[in-house]
Amino acid sequence: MVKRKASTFDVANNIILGILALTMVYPVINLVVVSFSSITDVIAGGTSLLWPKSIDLSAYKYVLNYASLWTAYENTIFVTLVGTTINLIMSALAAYVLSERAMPGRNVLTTFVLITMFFNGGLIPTYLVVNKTGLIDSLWALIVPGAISTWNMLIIRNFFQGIPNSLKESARIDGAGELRILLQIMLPLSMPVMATMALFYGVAHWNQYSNAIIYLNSPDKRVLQVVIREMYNTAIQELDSDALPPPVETVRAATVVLATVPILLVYPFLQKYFVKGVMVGALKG
Amino acid sequence: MALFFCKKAFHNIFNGVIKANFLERRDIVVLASTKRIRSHRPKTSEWITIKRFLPLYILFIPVALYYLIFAYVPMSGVIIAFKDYSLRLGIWESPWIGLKHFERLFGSRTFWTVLGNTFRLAFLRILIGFPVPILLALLMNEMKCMWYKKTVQTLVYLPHFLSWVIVYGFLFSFFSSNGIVNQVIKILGGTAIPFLSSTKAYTPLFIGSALWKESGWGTIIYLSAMSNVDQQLIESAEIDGANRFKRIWHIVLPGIRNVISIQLILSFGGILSVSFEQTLTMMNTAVRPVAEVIDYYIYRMGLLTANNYSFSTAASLFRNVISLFLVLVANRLVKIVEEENALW
Repeated sequence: MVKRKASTFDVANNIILGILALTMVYPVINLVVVSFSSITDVIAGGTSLLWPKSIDLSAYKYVLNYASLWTAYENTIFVTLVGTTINLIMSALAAYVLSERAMPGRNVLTTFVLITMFFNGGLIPTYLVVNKTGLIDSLWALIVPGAISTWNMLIIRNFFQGIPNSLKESARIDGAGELRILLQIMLPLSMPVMATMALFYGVAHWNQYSNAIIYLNSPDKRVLQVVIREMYNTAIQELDSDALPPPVETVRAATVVLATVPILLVYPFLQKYFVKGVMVGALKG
Repeated sequence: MALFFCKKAFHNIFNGVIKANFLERRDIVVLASTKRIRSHRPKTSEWITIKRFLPLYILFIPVALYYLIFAYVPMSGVIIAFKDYSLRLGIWESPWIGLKHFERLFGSRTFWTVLGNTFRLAFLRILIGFPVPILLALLMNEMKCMWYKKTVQTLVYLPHFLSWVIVYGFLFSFFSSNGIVNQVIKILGGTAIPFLSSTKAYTPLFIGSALWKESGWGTIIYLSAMSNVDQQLIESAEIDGANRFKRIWHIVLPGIRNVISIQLILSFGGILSVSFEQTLTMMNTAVRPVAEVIDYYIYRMGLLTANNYSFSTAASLFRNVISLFLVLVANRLVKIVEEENALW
């Protein structure tokens, strides 16, 4: 490369992209600021842009005393952990079987899976099935009906197909069973793609909203996103324990912050994987 | 395309091979002989191959059951669109009713409004949301300072991982009657505008928030396509005196042309799936006339207000048929552009 001084373009480009990147995080920063501010400052419009005028933890005190939120947290964590585990197991199983080129009937099975990407029963027929299986109003309704995302599974399958076949063959000759080959050879070699999928599935579960609205209705089955959305609808009467008006704005902000923090914590560690993971899937077809 | 198979993965694989060999070395000698014996055994019939793969078929059973129950059974349930479904009688016993639900659907004015909204929002989304990631990727591709580039990437990918509910929270803190924007308006002496319940503001907010959430993520595919563009070509153009814009216009853009056309076609294929979840979180009764899209209509008719299962299924069947048609057309177009990238 010819080494040159940074041109005007470079400077402008860096500034533009820097501003853009900041607009991507600013809403998060803003809510963090609001969540730590006192409600009087917020209503007066007196919060500064980057830090609270005065630190006030009352929003967090409210939120942490809010029983519904704890239930929602429990439910969401359950759905995320169990759901992601099941997603990964089922997807890896499907991907492993479908990546075996020599298997008779492979095309039939692949077609069987691919068809579901183009045809689906739609909302009500699916709802009726979920109803029949007794999952309505159970957290499992957020886990089982979406046990495999076909798209994600195909990404894993493509990755598996890139692993030299001789490895599997020699393991088979060594007497390893199929499950053992999957667990001890394929999966350890597929860490980048499996980490990506864990992130995709995990975030999807953490963010589940519409399925929860469709399938669940008891108050004790509410997940985080549902509770947050409700906070923006109601005046949060339930929070109003000691007859004082609750600091609505800051409480909302604190809840959103608490629901976003787990994603912010996991995301940077998995970032190096997902760019590669997305590419392997997207372009190998 | 093997280039995308990252170096790290290769590294892992080779490490894996070494490890596997090391662990199993003792057995290799023994098993090498087994291999010879096995390979001499002729494959007399297909039965032997099937038997060999039996464990794989068994592993596939849970997967097959999943797809049968949660994909194929619902597909067959679509017949209730042609029936008068009653909960008591069930799918099979409910009486046939022909195309009556479709007649009602096509005769309903709401349905056409909803369909219009769907297409309007979808086209706007493509019109604005499609070029932005390409532009962003081009700018990001020109960045020289690596750590800065990495930081920018980390930040612009982030919104993709936040839920629509959280994004609505952000919208609320900016655009609600007491939000930041209105506070600024008040300071400037204006009166507060209720953006979130204004039919005029809904479309820009809908498109804008999708843009904010997804355009950073959309750059990934273009950035990686750009990293595949021949670097020597760019350098020799530079030596020949091509300025930056000429290099982008004549080398980088043509280099990613295929990816661009495929992405464009695919996004046309997905027109009818205008985010249900986004609508579910952002819509309120005040903006419904401009905001309701077909997926929400299906939900509203089926579960939310009227439990009209058959009618809702008729709407969703119509939606799926159009959607499938669009995907097929899109795929045919991909085939024309580039054979190997077609979906099937």
